Amino acid sequence: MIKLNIFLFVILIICGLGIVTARYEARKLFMEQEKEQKLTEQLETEWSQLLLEQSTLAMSARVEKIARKELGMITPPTTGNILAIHPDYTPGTTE
Amino acid sequence: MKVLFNPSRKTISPVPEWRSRLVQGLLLTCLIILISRSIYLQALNKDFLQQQGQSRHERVIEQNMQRGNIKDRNGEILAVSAPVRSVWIEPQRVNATPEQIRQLASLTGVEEAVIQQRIRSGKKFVYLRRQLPPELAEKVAELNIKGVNLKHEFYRYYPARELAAHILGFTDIDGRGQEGMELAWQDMLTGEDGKRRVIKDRIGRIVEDVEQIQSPKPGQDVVLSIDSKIQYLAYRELARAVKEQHAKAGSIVALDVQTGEVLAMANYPAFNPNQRASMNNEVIRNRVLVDTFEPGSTLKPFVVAVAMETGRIKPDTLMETAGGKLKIGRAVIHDVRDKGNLTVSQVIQASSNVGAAKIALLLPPKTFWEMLNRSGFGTETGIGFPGEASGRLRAYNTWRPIEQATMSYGHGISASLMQLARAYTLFATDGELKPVTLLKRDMPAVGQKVISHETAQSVRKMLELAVQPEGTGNSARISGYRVAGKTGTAHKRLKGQKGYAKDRYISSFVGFAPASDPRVIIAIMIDEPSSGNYYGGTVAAPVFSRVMEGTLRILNVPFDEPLGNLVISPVPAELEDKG
Repeated sequence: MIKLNIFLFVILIICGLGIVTARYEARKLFMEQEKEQKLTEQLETEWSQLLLEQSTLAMSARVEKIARKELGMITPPTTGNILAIHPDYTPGTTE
Repeated sequence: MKVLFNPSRKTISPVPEWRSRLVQGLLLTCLIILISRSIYLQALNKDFLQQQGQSRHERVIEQNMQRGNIKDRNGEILAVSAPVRSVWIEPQRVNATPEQIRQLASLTGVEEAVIQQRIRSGKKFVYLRRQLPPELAEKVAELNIKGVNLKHEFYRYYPARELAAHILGFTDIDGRGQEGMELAWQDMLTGEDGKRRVIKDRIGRIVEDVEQIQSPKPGQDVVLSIDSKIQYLAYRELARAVKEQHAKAGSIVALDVQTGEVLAMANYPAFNPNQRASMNNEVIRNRVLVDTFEPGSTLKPFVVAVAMETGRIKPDTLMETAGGKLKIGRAVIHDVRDKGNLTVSQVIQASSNVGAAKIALLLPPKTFWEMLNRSGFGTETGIGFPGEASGRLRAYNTWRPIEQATMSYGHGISASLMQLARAYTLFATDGELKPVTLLKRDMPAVGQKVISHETAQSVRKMLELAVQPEGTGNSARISGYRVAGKTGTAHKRLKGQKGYAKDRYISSFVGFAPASDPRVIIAIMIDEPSSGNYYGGTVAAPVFSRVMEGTLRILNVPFDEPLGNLVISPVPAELEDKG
């Protein structure tokens, strides 16, 4: 009887310690997850800022200005063009 | 010396009975007090105390969700939300040194005196500064002032600036749509904010998730039917024309014939949605949809179509238009030029008012009204744009003969530019009125059949004649493509009184190309051109030519005519770079 009691007591102690470690681990992992979530948020912020920057730089007005003024490009006049139509072309597609 | 211990000696007096009982009693009372106190706390006040305890370390955190982006048909961003922070204070809790206040002032750009005043306001929640860039907000957080908090918010940015401003509309500072598509698709664009309960430790780190009270839903993206290249082209050419003609305003809309999608829609003057200061009621109106005008001669093809449909005329029926005048009651209808008697085709080509009026008078009012009604005049287009105007088409039983005659050339009836452009899908297709949309559709849309295939074909031929060198719209031609279209020049109605202004006009042009297999319809309206020209053929038609040429190139539409020696599109206009 005493032996059984001692045995159960030891198990109780082990379980108790187990709970403590598990709880500690859980908190640690949770903190880590929080940190990763913060990072996600930060990257999202960065992404939307880059998106914004990209769309500002790719504005048609800006592209046209650079093409015409800095690179001296022109729209080729339609006269003098030769139009080659692919046999697979079906009207209505833009490819 | 011997000391003897004798217990029997009465050296210590015996403890009196009452003292031990007193101690016993006192201890018992203490015990009872303790037990009853613990019962009071543990049993009776448990809930309250537990709640208080939790509120010391539990917090409800709001998770703000980003508003969806608006994209064009090719996935280019037209409106995007960027994260920013708003600084808010709890005045009662603020505890800051003058030095900290000074730093806060320099970071937020709010004056020290203003900050002090807000702290003294005694409210529970005061915004100090809205929409601060995240880098600056980070520094505010580093100051670590008690009672100064940050809130995640989003700032709406429109990279295309004024180009698509009227379509997109804008949001208010709290991210709610106020105009345009931002308002129309508000529910889809906004996500749902999430809420979760967490446990924080002493230094404010989150240590445990307790529960998710409300799960967050991010806003969905809206993909428009707009093609930003065509949109740019349309806006650029419209702005150029309005400036050149010293006009009050102008509008342009481009439709895909098969799908009914709006490829471009622009107004000038426009506003920059990124700068609230540039907005006023005059510039934020999307004139294409919200304003109506008397369309003028662009309405003539409809009277011809219905007269042909009911078998009253044929394209080569000769109308008595010689003299260029028609008297109805006390009113007289004039032509700009007397060209003798004209066939129905020539009536369209030369845009004869007398011819159109005579055709209209062949019809019972109800038949004519039904045609206009089924072509979409007088009813909203169903495009789902806030504040869309339905135009004015009066009931046929109130028409007088003179009104029926003037309506044939577009006076006494009003329509929005979108209605006009959509009505032309009748002639660009085989007589179907296509439903229009601002959202990407891709699939050809099934429209409502209004006129027969044959009638549509004949009217299309007449519209092609109208842009020939001898027609009124000859400056709408494009090298390499067959074009069909109709000019319109209408006197403006006098404001607040009957009648028309003598010297104020609305010049318009509606057309489509390539005429052999129409792909795009473009409608242009220029309000009060005042540089001397006011005919639709000289003011609006050149804009059509330039925008249509570029659009067909962007859409890779093959030529349907040998490349002629038309000289058009010299140097494109340039947009000045503002803001």
